[in-house]
Amino acid sequence: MSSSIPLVQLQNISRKYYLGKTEISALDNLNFQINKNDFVVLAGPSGSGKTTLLNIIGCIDKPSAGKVFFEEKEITDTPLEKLNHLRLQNIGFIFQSFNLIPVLTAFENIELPLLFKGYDEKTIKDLAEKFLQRMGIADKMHQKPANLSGGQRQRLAIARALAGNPSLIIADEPTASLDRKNAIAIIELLRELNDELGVTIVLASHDQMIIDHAKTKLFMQDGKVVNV
Amino acid sequence: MQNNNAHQWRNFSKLLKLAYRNLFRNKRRSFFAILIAASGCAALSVAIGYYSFSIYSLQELTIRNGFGGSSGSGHVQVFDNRMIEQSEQRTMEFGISNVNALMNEIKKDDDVDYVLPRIEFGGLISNGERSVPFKGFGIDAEKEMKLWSGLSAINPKLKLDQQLLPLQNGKPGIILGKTLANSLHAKVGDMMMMYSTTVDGAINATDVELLGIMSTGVSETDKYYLLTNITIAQKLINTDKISLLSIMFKNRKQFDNKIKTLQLNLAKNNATKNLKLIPWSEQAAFYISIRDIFNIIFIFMGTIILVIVLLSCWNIMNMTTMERIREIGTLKAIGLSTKNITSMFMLEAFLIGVIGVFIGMVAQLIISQIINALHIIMPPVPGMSRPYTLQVYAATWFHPLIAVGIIAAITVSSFSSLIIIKRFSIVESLDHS
Repeated sequence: MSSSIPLVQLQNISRKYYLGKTEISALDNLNFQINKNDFVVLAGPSGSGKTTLLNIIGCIDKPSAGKVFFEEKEITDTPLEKLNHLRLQNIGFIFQSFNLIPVLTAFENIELPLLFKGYDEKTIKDLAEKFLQRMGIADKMHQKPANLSGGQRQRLAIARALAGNPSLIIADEPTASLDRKNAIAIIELLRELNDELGVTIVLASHDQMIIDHAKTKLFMQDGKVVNV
Repeated sequence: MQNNNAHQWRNFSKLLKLAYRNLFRNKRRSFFAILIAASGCAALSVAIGYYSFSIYSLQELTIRNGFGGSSGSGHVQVFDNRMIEQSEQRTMEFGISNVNALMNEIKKDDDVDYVLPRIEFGGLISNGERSVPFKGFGIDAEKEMKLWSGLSAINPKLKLDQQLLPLQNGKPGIILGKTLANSLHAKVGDMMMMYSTTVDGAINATDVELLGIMSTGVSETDKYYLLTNITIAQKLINTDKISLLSIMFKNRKQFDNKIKTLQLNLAKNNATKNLKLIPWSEQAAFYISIRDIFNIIFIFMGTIILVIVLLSCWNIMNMTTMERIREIGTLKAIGLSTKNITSMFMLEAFLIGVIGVFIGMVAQLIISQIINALHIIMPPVPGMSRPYTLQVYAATWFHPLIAVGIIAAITVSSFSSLIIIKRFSIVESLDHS
């Protein structure tokens, strides 16, 4: 079960885009909070605002209106550049198309953010090995992403996101590029990690199998949460 | 957490490693970027090598042969001070006397290699049917040969000293400029009459044999040029004075100090205190004007090469960055700063520059060797009639500057990456396909 301690709070969040001169409302006056240790799935059809909301929760985008709090500290007006540190220290990202650095090995992909986080060499080595082991790809440590299968790449992306001990994992359609078998394995793994490490996971998906794994389900339509 | 410096160094080395690996990502693009850097570096180095050869040749030509062909200035010339400040009313009024004593005094200086006495005089040369004015130089042929032979170091085919062979061992006679000899229809072995004004203002004449005909390398000078041994000139104008002494040092190292020391030594003696030393560069107006033109040409050319390198690499870095927009978005999302990401691209450009410069230097060495081995004959420079052999010197003193210039130009080109990194937000970068 998730705790009732808020990790991210959103108050009256709206996000508008301009397509030429046409205003598009991606999010419309959202209010909700994500608690620590929660496993939240943002569900809804394409264009419902899942990714936009995920971007704001992950501190890589700003709302047009409303307030955002991370660990009860308001970050609405903090410039995105200054949120680097917050993301580096607190947030891990898992992308639909893995977004691994192709010229780095599996070990080095995990190592890179940890280096910038300020960890020493031994800690980095221990953490990288531990998570590669946990993801079942320890034998691929020195392989580059191109030599890994889709499932292995996503496991590596999860290892990269988790190794820095973040309080929040943002995952945008993490299984969309995987076959069914790998998709199930990945979602079960994420769920296990949520229980095991206590890390809060927020992911976007329209896959019912994934929605079924959620502790909290947020259904979105036309930029609004229509059902919790 | 560990100490800040070590931590920053590890981050830097990781970015460097990443930059290095990125070079192999699009090998063809990296190859072209390195090729541009190498070509720019080689072109600049060869150009500077040619510039060095040209400038050094011009200097040596001025010192050893002079552009008028009237013998070079030597490293420094000694005049009576009044010769510079006033004009002579009578022939050799301000000439230098006690020549042997003065030469011995100057030779005491360890830096001095040899001293050349010279007389400049004018008059008429006649074949009995026709008389033509000349500008004559009375010289010590053996020493002048030594001076002129120095040009073989620049061009082994240039054996100018051999032109003075007919005057060797004080042989009485004259050498005429080619055009002057033609105008008199004179040929070697002809007897001629040389007229001049003595120091007392009288007209004097002497029979001389035409020992040789030569080209000074400057068509205009060939019209009035006459060379003879100094004793014949002194006898003709009835003096034991000379116009000037030309001094050659063993080398040009610490040139100003050598002149200062020599000037101080001369100033100590009453008999020589009125003598003034004039370095070769102060009498080399032609050299200075050519050098200035060369400087402008090479600065202009160098700037163009650097700008071409910069713009070409700018375009390559632009494409490289656009290709990795999504990756940049990922790096930003996981917490790397714009500074870190820009550093990575700058390091990539820097590595391209370093590798390019290394290859460019090696290429320059090979190209220079080939050019030097080919002995390419270049047309004469304007105003001269003698062609010269193209050579490229290894201007190693300038190579660090070229390396820095090329590497800087390419590193600056990575600012195109910064512009793109700044332009795209994280979300836009991640959405970029």
